[in-house]
Formats: sequence, C-alpha cells, structure tokens
Amino acid sequence: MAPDEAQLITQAQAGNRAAATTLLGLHYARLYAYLRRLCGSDTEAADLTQQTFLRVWAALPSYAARSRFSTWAHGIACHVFLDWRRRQAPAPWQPDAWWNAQADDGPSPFEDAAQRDLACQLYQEVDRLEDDQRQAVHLHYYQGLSLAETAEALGVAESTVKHRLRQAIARLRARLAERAAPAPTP
Amino acid sequence: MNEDPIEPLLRKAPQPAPPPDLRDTLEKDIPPGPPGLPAPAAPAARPPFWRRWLPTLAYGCVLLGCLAVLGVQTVQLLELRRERARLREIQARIETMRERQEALQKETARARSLDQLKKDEAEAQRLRQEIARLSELAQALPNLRAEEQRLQAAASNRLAQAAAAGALEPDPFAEEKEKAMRIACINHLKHIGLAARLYADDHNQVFPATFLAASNTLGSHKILFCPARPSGTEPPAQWQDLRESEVTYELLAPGAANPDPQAVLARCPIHNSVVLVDGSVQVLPPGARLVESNGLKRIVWPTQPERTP
Repeated sequence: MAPDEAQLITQAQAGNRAAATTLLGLHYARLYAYLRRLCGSDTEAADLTQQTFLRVWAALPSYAARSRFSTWAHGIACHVFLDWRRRQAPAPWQPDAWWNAQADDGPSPFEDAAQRDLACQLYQEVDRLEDDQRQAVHLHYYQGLSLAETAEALGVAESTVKHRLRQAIARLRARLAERAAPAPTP
Repeated sequence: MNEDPIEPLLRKAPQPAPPPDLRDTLEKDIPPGPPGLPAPAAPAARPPFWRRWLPTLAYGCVLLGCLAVLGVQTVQLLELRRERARLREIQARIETMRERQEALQKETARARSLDQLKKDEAEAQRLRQEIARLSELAQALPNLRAEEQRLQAAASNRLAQAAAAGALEPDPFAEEKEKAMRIACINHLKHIGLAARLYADDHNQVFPATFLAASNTLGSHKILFCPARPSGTEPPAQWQDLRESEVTYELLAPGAANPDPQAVLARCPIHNSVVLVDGSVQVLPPGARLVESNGLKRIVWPTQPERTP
C-alpha cells in the first residue's frame, strides 16, 4: 500500500470528504471493469459499482489495513455481485457483445487478427465457466490480483484459488481445442 | 504453461471504461461526516396502555390471588380447629363411658360367679341325695343276686323239661334255603356247560378232559363247588390251590370229541342235576337214570323207553 493511500484512508476514516473522493478516483474504474466483466451490462455494472462504494464507505471505519485497500474493495465488490446474482433469475448464457466489439475494432493489445479472434473466443469461454472458477480468473488474471489477494477477496484459502485456476485453465484449453477442431463432414 | 497462450491472453484482457457520469454519481454518495456513524435513533414509540400497565396488573392479580388463597386457608384452619375441639369432647365422653362399662362388666362377672356358686351348691345337694339312694341300693344288692340265681335255676329246669318232651320246633326257613341252593347249583352247571363249549370251540370241538383244563374259560373256580356241599369242603382261595378231586361235580364226558348234544357233560351228585353237551341243565326226577352208550352218558326218563343212539 502506498503511503499516500494509507494517509488518504486515515483521513477518509476521520471524515475527510476530499480524501474519500481521491480514494474513489483511484479505484472506481478498476472496480467498474471487474463488475462490468462479471455482470455483462453497463447499467448493471454502474449500479453495482455504486452499491459497492456505499458499502465501502459504511465499512471504512472497520478497515484495519490487514490487506491492500484494493483487495478489500474487490472482496466487497465480489459480495455485491453475488448478492445481485442471487436476486436475478437464472438466464441462459449469451455471449457478451462487448468482447466482440473489443476484438473487432479500435486499438488492441493483440498482435494480429488470429490472436484477436482467439482472445475473443477465450473471453467468451471464461464467461461460461462455473462461478467459483470465473471469479478466480477475473480477480487473478483480469484484475491482476496476486493469488493471496484473490484468496483474501474471495474468502477462501490460497490453495483453493490455485486449484480453481488450474481447473479453469484446463477447461478453457479443452474448449478452445474443441472450437479449433474441424467440424465433422456429414 | 509458458507456451500456452491462454494465460497471457487472459492477462491482456481489455479494460472496460466506466461511463463518464459514474464518478460524479459516486462522489455524491460519499457521506458528509465520518463514515459508518449510525444515524441518530428515532424516539421510541410509546407502548400502548395495556403494555405499560401489564407488569403492575400482573403483580396485582398475583397478589389478589394470594390473598384469596390465604383467606380460604384461614377459614379451613378455623374449621379444623373447631372440629378438633369437638372431637376432644367426644373422646372425653368415650373415656367416661368406657370406665362405666368396665365397672358394669365387673358387676356382671361378680353376679355370674354368685350364680355359679348357687348352682354348685344345688349340684352338691343333688349328689348327696344320689349317694344316699345308691347306698340304699348297695345294701339291697346281695338280696338281688340271690334272686337272680334262683330265677336262672328255675329257667334251666324249664328248658330241660321242654327238651325232654321234644317240643323244639324245626327251622321254618330250611326248605327255602334248600331251594336257593338248588337254584345256585343249576346256575353253576350252566356256567360249567358254557365254559366247556367255549373250550371245545378253541380246541377243535374236543371237550376238556378235566375241570382244571377249562380254567381259562371258567369265570371262577368257586362255581366248581355245589352250594349244598357238606361242611368242611370249602373251596380254596386261588386256582393254584385247587385239586381235581376236591371238585363236587362229576365230569361225565372228559375229552369227548364232537359229542352228541344230548350227551351228559357234568353232574351234581348232591342235587342229581346234569348239564348236557348243548348247555341245557336238567334236574333228574326220581326214577330217571343215566345210561352209558359209546362212552357217553345219556338220560333215560322214567316214562320214555330207553333211546338208542
């Protein structure tokens, strides 16, 4: 944790609105991205981000700096998403058009079209993973949290996170292989 | 895993950009004061009347109940005390009555002993009189003995005179006794005939050679003795002690094989009765006699001519 962030948190806990605003500016985009990837909707992601920060402000006095503020906030966001998910009726999986949009146009970190296409298929397959594995992939790979931070955010042991990631990678690999295989001729 | 493109691709996932107005919205939600402080509590609503007074009312009800129970128990206590006093009076009266009853029992016992003494006195008086009467009789006893001897001597003389005159009468039941014994003899002969017939049936129509040979078919060995037999010839107690010579009947067809039915099987020499081979019993009248033919005896009646076989 940077010393500035620690001061900001202390000041925010003391009721300093400017410090709280600065903290918000540091983390809200990342949390929004996390929730956006999970729920698949811009509007729902904005609402969930709002609920997450309401909980963050309510629980801020109990924050004891045992983990990074970012990890702590990701844990809250994870619970907000799970609560929202429980309230939602289960719907059939549909590919997120945003991934396709990300793969199709604009500046992209991918080197060529083949890699972009593979990435698009991979992100769609991640969305089809089971909830536990998907949460682990999002936090560890998408959000860049370490294994320990991912385990802290999910409230599970680090070995559990490792196991889930290993299972997720294996499953993604298998599904990508299925996609790459030529369709059987009739 | 290093050559696997999955993990690098996952790490290079694009970052969705937040909506431009999201930050403003979130900043508005930041609480003005220190976060996490609880909102001032609203004044508690005044509970209803019954709820405010419920403890007092409950306490009052319990108190009233206790007072009522106490009153009832006090009344019951007073009643029990009165009852106890009454029972004590009754007990004292019972004691007095018991003492009177004991005195009365003593008086009654004394009166009874007095009566007993009077009865004993009367009994003693009666015994004295009896002793006096018996003393008188004892004095007259030698005279009575002499009179008895005299009367016995006179009776002996009279009996001797009557015997000498032959005035003793015969037994009036002698004829009936003789008739009964004859009937019993006939019954014995019937049994003997039946037993011989049963023996012959079991032995190929050969009649028994002796009475003892037919012991299995005879009911009792006592039927081999005529009731009118002379005294001193009593039948033995068991079959084993019987000897053929002691039997009072005569076997006239010993060991006969398939004899004539009219042949005589056995005879009673006392009553002159016979049993035939066919089982019938005949009392031979005076003049009838038995004639032997082919080793068997047959009856010859006095009016009939002698039958030839």
